[in-house]
This record gives sequence, structure tokens and C-alpha cells, in this order.
Amino acid sequence: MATDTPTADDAGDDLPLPTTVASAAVAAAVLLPLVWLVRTALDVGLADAIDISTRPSTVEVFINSAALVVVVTVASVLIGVPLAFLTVRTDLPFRRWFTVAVSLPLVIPSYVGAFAFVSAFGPQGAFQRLLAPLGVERLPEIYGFHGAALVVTLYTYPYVFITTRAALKSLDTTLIDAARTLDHSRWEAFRRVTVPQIKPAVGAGALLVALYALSDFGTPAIMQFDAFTRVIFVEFTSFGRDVAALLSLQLVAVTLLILGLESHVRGNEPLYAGRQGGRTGGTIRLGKWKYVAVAACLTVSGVALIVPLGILLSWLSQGGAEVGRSLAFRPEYAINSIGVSAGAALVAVVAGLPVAYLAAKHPTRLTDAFERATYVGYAVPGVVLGLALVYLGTSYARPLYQTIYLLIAAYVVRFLPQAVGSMRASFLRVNPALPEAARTLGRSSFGAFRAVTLPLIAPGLFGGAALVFLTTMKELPATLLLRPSGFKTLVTHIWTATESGYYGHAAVPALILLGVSGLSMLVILSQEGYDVK
Amino acid sequence: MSNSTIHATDEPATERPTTDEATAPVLELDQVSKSYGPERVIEGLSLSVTEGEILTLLGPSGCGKTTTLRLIAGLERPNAGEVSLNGTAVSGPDSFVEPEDRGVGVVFQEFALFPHLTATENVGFGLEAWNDDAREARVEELLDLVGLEAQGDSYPDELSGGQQQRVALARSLAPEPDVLLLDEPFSNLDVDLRVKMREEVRRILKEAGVTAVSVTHDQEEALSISDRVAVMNDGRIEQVGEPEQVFQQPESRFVAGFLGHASFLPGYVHGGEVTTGLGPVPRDQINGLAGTYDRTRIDVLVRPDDIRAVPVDGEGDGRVISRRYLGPTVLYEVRLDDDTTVQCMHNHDESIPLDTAVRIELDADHELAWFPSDQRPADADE
Amino acid sequence: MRNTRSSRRRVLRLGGAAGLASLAGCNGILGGGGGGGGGSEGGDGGGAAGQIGSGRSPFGDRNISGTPMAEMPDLSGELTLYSGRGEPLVGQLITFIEDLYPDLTIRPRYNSAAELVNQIETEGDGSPADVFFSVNAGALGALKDRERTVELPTEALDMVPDQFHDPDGMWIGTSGRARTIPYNTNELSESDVPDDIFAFPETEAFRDAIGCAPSYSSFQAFVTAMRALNGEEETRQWLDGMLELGLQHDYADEFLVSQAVADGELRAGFANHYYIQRVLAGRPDAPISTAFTAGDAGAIFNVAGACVLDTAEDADLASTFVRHLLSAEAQDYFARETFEYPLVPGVDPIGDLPTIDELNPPEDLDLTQLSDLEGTVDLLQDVGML
Repeated sequence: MATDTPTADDAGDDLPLPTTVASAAVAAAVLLPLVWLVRTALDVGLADAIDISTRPSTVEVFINSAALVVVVTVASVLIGVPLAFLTVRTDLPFRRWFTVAVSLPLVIPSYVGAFAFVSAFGPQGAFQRLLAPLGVERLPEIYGFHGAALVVTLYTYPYVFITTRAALKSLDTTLIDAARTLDHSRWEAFRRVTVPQIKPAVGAGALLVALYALSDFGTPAIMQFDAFTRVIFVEFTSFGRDVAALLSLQLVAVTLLILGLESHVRGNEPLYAGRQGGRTGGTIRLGKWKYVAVAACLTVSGVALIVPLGILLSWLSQGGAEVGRSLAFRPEYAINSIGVSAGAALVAVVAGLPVAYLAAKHPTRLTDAFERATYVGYAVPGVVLGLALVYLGTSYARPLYQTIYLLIAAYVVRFLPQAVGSMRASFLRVNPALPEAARTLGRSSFGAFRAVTLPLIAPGLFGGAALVFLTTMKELPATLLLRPSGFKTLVTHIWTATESGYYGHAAVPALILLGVSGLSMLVILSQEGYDVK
Repeated sequence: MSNSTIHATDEPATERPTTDEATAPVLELDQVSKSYGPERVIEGLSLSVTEGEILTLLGPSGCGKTTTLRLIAGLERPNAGEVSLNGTAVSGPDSFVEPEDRGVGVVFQEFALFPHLTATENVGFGLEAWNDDAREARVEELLDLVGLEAQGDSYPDELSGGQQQRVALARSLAPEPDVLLLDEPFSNLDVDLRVKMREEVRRILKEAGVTAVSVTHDQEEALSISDRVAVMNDGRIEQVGEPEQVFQQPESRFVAGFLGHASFLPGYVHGGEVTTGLGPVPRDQINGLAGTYDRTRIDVLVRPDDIRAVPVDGEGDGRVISRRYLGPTVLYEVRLDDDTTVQCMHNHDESIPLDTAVRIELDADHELAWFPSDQRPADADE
Repeated sequence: MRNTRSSRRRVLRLGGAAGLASLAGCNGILGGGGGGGGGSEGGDGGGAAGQIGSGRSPFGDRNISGTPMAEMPDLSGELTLYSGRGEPLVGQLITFIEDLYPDLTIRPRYNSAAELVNQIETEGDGSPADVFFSVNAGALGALKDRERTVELPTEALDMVPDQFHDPDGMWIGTSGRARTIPYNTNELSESDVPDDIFAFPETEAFRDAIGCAPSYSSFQAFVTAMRALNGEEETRQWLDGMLELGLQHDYADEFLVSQAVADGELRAGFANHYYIQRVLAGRPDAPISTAFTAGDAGAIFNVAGACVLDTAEDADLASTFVRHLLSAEAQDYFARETFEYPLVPGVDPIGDLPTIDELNPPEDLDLTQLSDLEGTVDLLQDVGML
């Protein structure tokens, strides 16, 4: 039917009951860890809580974190959007390669990136030693705000890149042609026509970046930057769980704020093409700018990839020290990593499906709330979430404690929004007339979903699953807390090696991690349905 | 809105079932209402469709015709009233039958072909319960019917607009629905294709013997393919009848104005004639002008092809104020001395310059419709 | 879209299979169960004290003295160990002990000490942990303060001198590390190094040639000790004085400091004793030696230790395991693997080091306080060293 008439989906018609119940269950499950946070934070006592929260040092680190989040998010957008534009809408040479290269930094755990940058550019680092004979006394300071912002940006901008690409690909370029005939220059057409259309996608990517910057533990610690998470970290090392929980609640509050902001930016406008028409062609010729564009792509991806790869390879060449046969790498670590990450991806997709469906097809306050709820787990630092699940596990689910089931649950709580976001965008792209047509042809509601909607959202499903897989592969703190005894993954092995200073032994698992994650990145990119692969 | 093809039906009269045949209606709507929030989209709508009939709901955008279609299909639930199929209530105060159980087929405006399935798979989609051989045979039969035997393995994005529509039609016909609903089926096609496809679709529907309800805002389409036309305005049906009837005997100004060009000629009834700005019109040329209307003012409906403008020297009935070249015909607008404007249609080779004084000749070979003057809407200016 | 459909289905099957496989609990099959993942090249076991691990002492062979494991009660059952000490170190030890006792299964859990303490706390009564092992005495103290430890039996406590176990017997040290002053033997002699830490800022021989690693936890422990023993003001003055003397504070860790001393880049430094031994192990002729201060923060002796948790299922098994950490084999192992100081009298440290009774750590210092680093970090940041 004509797509602009009101349909049964809008205007507050009843929500499908089973889906809503499922959605509610998922939202409740991911909010459970908050229960522990609140309980533990309450141990602090109101007067102390106020004192801690308003202490100048707390306020200061809060501002530090805020600055980091803002700078990283803005920088990610400034890098991700132009690069996405270049790879989708221009005649950039080697577009496929650049698409992959520019996306790859996402596979590198940010703590590895931070470590690599410090190793390379720190006062005792590789570059310093290389350049010292040339008389360079000191390299620009890598520690502190600038270093932290640089590292976090480099390893999160691909979120914006990927989501913006998806939006640009489904953009109907006849709209831009129309604008140009209405006397708009190319830039104006971009600003007034393209930007509003891609704003939701950019917002979605920026949201993931912002929440990551807010909750990242490793990078601020390594870069010696006093972010909020560092304060939480200090509290943990002083065994002050209750204060750490309180501070984490503040993080959650900030998360809700950021979520509110993003709600404004994005919309629920259906993105599907009504008719089979519309064009998505029209590449822009770069001409001389080609060289600049290529240089930009090379620089960004190069810096992000070469520094850690270089450091890893130098570790590899160091070789394994004779000590520590227990540090010998075994393939089972890779199998464990892949198995548990695949499990998390599978559960995340299944759990996220009802949430994404309702958020896209029946957008109401309630279904929006369910969807937003999934982001809370994403913003809570891994170690905090780990402890929350330790509590829930030992108190209510003893048989599950320190089994991979609880571990997978932790991953799902943490990374669900990545799956939900991807699937939701996919649902929005499905013309509602299609499942309606299926119903008029005799399929039940669920049958129509299965036969028509599901195949059409497959890209979003796979893309989301691959993203969860990738981020689970590199997760560390919750893994250390919740893994079964003796369960070793690539990441735990890397941690063991680096903790004991045997960097040579960390190189192989790290390279394997990057390799496997790189493959899943290819899956993500291929699920856009177009050129790559 | 051109009048060119309204009389171009050359089918034998027997192909058009009339409502006074004693057939039970396949589809019936009884006082159906539907609101979206505070907005009432359909009000007290009643309709019945007999078997094998093609009925078109015709009306402007926003009049509720698509909503009506969706109510029939079961994709919406009415707030009041009842929808029945073959005598059984399918939407009503006590019952609601899901779309998949109604046996109502739908051809969507944008075709809604499943992009991940081939044409064959699309057409066979509604035949899941059939055994493989029967399904295959039926799909083949339908692809033949719509002339796409060779395109079975093509995907929708490999087909042209016209081909896609035929697949959509075949798909909805495959499960042998009791009723077929078509939502603005031709609006997504190029104009020349539109005309051709209209005829095709009518042929296919008649050949399949399917009862069909079509929805459109294109009155030419409605008048040319339907057995009956229901004109809708603002959530209500203003008139239902055969195309000629609705066109020539519109029961309301809206219907008159919506179908074809309409000019309203003010006149005064007395005795055996109606005095108009064009001179007296014999009373028996006005359809059904009862005695109670003696000595009243009425507006007579004249279509452009009912009148001719003849250039005169000196004073005539009015002056030509605009002309619109339509290809085979030219539409002139003439302002009469009493300030009403009428439109006349001439052949393209008759050319009357603007601002010429003309005399208007009434040249209708059928009865004219009329409306009481006091029914004139406040801002009427046809 | 067509050809990716079938490949997509394939990927889905594979991915789903992998996911389902993991969900179906291939935990035991893939995870390698308990015990260290390390190779099981355990020692000779049985009879006379055997050597754990195959590493050879770089400083020549030695006899292993102390109470061998054979003389301790047998271990059997399941033991869950939460270890803040890394797997490369503990793994070999666990494998040795498990090989010795066929009925014993040890389930180790490795993480940083602080997170393990937090985890034990959060687990509460439901904690599966039996024994906690850490290099961080503060972590042991934290568990004691939160009443999660049980008193160790006297047979265990008697194995080490009193100052190396908790006064209430709640935890026991297993090996130790001394704060030392590595110095370059080409530039300085032992007498050039003062034995009073507070004399350092005035020692001209150190000008611009003494280094430290301020981000390293043991250095911070040393500063914390100074704050505890001498007060905030004096500590600040000392730090300022050292900075004025040209203290090089850019080193990332104390191994690098020690290497710099051996290279001649520095004349002296601040480091845990074992780093010097590590340098010497790699370069036996390196011109580096160990100096000590006496009776002050610069000479603190910190211990790694273990405790039995209140949630231990079999407290006897747990405490006997702890005793095994003080066996001749284990003490020798710690000495050989990481060059730490054994705490059991009669077991000598490796390398050219004074024996444990010859050291002069400051008295009246509660080692568990040394892990409260926040105030120290603030101070170091304040004076500009961090």
C-alpha cells in the first residue's frame, strides 16, 4: 500500500505481545547488573557519597573524561565521515582496499594500541632510541590527554566509518541531483540534503565511540591520563569496591545523558525506498584531490595499524625467553576465543532481534526504552560488569558461576547494542509492504517474518553478529573475572605474557587475534551488500 | 483530466454484470468507520461487490480509499461496522479474521515483490500448502497468463516496471483469491505503459473471473476498466454506479467535478424550459427535473463536449479567455456575460484565438444533470 | 546478493555451530581443565627434595635445603587457588605438586591481586576460593581486615621467622624482596653508597647519575614506607632533594634501571634486589653490584605470601598446601625462578647476596600498609616525578 498512509504499525496500535515480552525480558536481563551496582554503591552512605562525588579531584577527572569523550567523538566523526564519503561516493583508487584498511583498526584492542604507542613513542620507546643518535632529545609527550585522545580515536573511529558508509550507500542520489538543479553547490547539497539523511547513522556510530571513550579502562591507565575510569581503577586497587560502584553509577548517569543526546540526532524515519527507483550511483571525480585523499587514507590507517603491528613484530623477533613453557602458545586458545566469541555473537543476535524489531517497526516510548537499556551495559567498564556478574552468579546462579554460560552472558550484556543497532537499521530498510504482501498470500505474522523480513535483514544480522564477535574477541577484564578455571583464550594468554614481562610470547597470540578479528571485519564490510567481497 | 476515452468501451454489454442480477455479493462493507487517533478517515462506509465484478474506488488523495482497501484485506481493523466476505463477517464487532485467512489478494502500489526471490518464487509464494507439482503448474499457468513465461528466473530488480507489475498481479492471483484488491496499480508506470497495462489487467482479471476492487485517483483509469465506480470523498462514498451513469448523472457536485471537466451553467426554471446564459434549454433535456423546482434557480452541468464555441462578430455569449492544447483536442474556456466560465472542447484543427467573442451552442445528445443553486458551495467556481 | 546468500548460509552454519558448540559447554573439552597449562615437566619428585622446573641456576649448582615435600602430609582432593602471581611462575609449581599427589586437583585462577580480592569480596560466602596467593602483602592484609582469612596452623607459621607472617597468623610470607641500591662497580665502590637513605640527596657522586622508575609499584611501596616511617614532609623534602640532585625518573621499570646501571648510563639506582640478579644472569661480568641501606625505608623487605580463605571447603588441605609453598623445593624454586629471597631459614638466596638475617630492614613497619599507594601517587605527581 502507499507507504505514506498510516499503517497498523504506527499510531499506538497494540504491540505484538510475545515480541514485547521477549524484548522486556532482554532489557531486564541487561539491566540486572545495575542492581549490584546500586546495592554496592549504597554501602557508601549518603554523606560520604556526596563528599566523594563533589570532591575537587573527582570533579576534575570527570571533566577530564568529558573532554576526552567530546574530543574523541568529534575527531572520530571528522575522520570517519569524510573517509566514508571518499570510499562510497568518489572515484578514489583502490577503494576496496582502503575500505578494509580504514576499518581494520577496530580489530586492535585499545590497550594493545595504547601499549604499542607508548612502546613506540614513549620516552624510552623505540622511536626515541632510533632518533636519539640523530640528536632528537625528546619526542613530543605521548602520555597524557593528547596521547590518550589520539589512541582512543584511532581505534574507535571505524565505528563511525562503518555506519556512515551504510547510510551513504542507501542514499538516493536523485535527491542530491534535485538539490543541485535548485542552485545548490555541491557543498551546499551535501550540507542540506546528504547530511540530514546520514545524521542518524553518524549519530549511531558516534554513540558507540562516545560510550567506549567513557568506559575504557586500559588506555587512560597506560597513557597515564587521569580519566574517570582511572579513578575507578584506583579505588579497585585499594579494595574500595563500594566507592568504585558509586563512581560507576555516575558513569551510567553520563551514559543516559549521552543516549538522550543521540536520540535527538537520530530519527526513526524509515529508510526504505518506496519505489524500485532512486539511484545510488553518481560518483564524484576527485581529479587532483585524488592524491590528497589517498594520502589521508594511508596516513590514518597506516598510523593506526603499523604502530601496533610493528611493536608486535618486534616482540616476535625478540623470541620467547627460555622460561615459561607454560607460555607456549596452543591452538586451543584460539579455538576457545573463537568459540566463546561466536557463542556471544549468536546469543546477542537472538536476544537483540525482538528489541531491534520493536524499536524499528513499533517505535513507542516503551520500545525505545528497551533499546536504550541495552546501551547501559556497553558503557559500564568491563571490570565493573564482571564483578556485577560475579555477584549475581554466586548469589543466584551458583551452578552457572565460572562457567562459559555466565561468561557469554557477560559479553552479551556488554556488546548487545552493537547487534541491536545493526539489526534495527536493517529493519528500517525493509519496506513494510513486503511482510504485508506475505500475509495477504497466506502467511501468518510469524511466517511472514520468517520468509520475507528475516532474509531481508540478513545483512544487519550478520553485520551485527560479526561486530559482537570482534569486540568479544578482544575483551579482557570481564573474561579474567568470569572465565572457568583453566579456560584460556588468546586475550588471557596475551595478558599472562605481558604481565610477566615475556613480550615475545605475547606476539603470536596477538597476531592471531588480529588475524581472526580481521576476518570478521571482512564479514562486516561484506554485509553492506555491495562492493567489498 | 481528459474526456477522450470515456466512451471507448467496445466490449459487449454482456460482459458487464449489473447489480440487479440476483447474485449474492462476494464482498460487503456495512457502515464501516476507521479513525487514526482523532482523525476520522472513513465514516459510515457501505459497499457491496458482486462476483466477477471490477469495482473501482475513485477519489482524491486522502479520501480514505487506500484505508478502505486495507480494511478489506484485514491489514487494519475498523472502529465500527462490519466487513463480510461471502456472507461471513471477517471484520466486525465480534470477529476478526487475520489477513492470511481471508483469501483476499492484494496488488500493492509499489508492487512489493520480494527482492530475494525470483519471479517464479514470488508467484509461488502463496502456494506453500500446495504440493510441488500443482504449484509448479499453477505458477506456469499464471506466468503464461501475464505473458512472462520467459522471465521466471529473473529477480525483481532485473525486470521492468511493467513486468514487475505483472508478476505482482500473477502472484496475487495464484492462490485463487475470492477478492483481489489493487492499490493504485498503475501509478508507478509510465503514462503510455499505464494505458496499455490497464487494458491488459482488465483482460487478465476477466479471464480469471476474479472479483476485484481497485483504488485510484485517476478517473480515466477508473472509468475505463471498471464495471462500477464508487466515488469517494472525505471518507464517504458519494456515488456508486456504472461509469457512464456516474459520469453523466453525477449525484453531487463533487462527483460531477471530479470526473471530467465540469462547467455549471446557472439557469432559471419556468415552464417547459430553463433559461440560461446560453439561451433557453428545453426542460426535458434536463434529467429528472421535478415540478417542485419550478421557479427556482438551478445549475446545469455541461461537459466540454456538450457545448461548442462559435466565433461571432460583435456580441456573442462570451469571450474566449484561455485555450489549452491537448493534442487531438483543444479545451477552450469562455467567460460568459454573467461571469460564469464554461469549457468547450473542439478538435485540434479548429483554432479560435483568445479574446474572440463567441456564441455557445448546446450540442448534447443526452440528458443533462443539474443541481439546485442553493447547493452551491460558498466558494464555488467550476 | 544471490551468490552471497549461499555463502552467507554457510557462514551462518559455521558460526552457529561454533557458537552452539561453545554453548553446549565444551568447557571441559577445550578449556584444558585445571592445573597450569604448562608442560608437565615436573621435577623428579619423591624421596629427596627434587628440583621444580628445569631451569638451572645461572650462578652455579646448589644444594636444596629445608623441609622437603616428602616430609609433609599428602594432599588429596580439589583445591581452588586464586593467584595474583603470574601463571608462568605458579604454573610450574602447581604442576609439580599435582604430579606428586595423584589424587590432587588444583584449579588456579590468575588475575591481578586487587581484582582477586574484589572478586573474593563480591563472591562472599559463595566463593569457591580456598587459597589466595599474592606478591602484594597489602592484598593479604585486606583480606584479613575483611575477615575472610582463617588462622594458619602453627606447623606452618613456625616455618618462617615471626616478622614474615601476620602476627595473628592469618597469612604467611612465602618469599621476599629487598629494596636495594644497584651501583656500577666501575664508577663506585660499596662504601660510596651511604647506608642512610636520607644521606642520598647530598651524595655528590650520584649527581645526574642515579635513576628510578616512579611508576613501578615497588618503588611506590618504598616511598609509602618512607611516608609511614618518616612522615609526609620529610618524604617530600627527600624527593625534592633527589630531583635537585638530578634523579633520572623516566625509566618504565626497575629492570631497565638496573640495566642502565650495568651499562654505565647510571651510577646507581633504586631497584628490588632480584633485578640486579637478572641482569647478572644475562651478563655475568656486568659491572653491577648490590648495596643496601640499613634500618630505613630504603631497606624495606616486602614479602609475597598466601592465606587460607574462610570459604575453603577443606581448610586442612588448604593449609597443608600453603605449607608446601614453604617446602625446600618451593623455596628453592622461588629463588631460582625469580631470584627472590626464600623465607625459610637455611635456604639461601641465589647470587651474591647477604643472607636474610644479615639484612637490616626497618622495624615496626606493617607491610600490609605498603599497598596503599594513592597518597604516594599524589605526592609523586605533586613533586613532578609522575
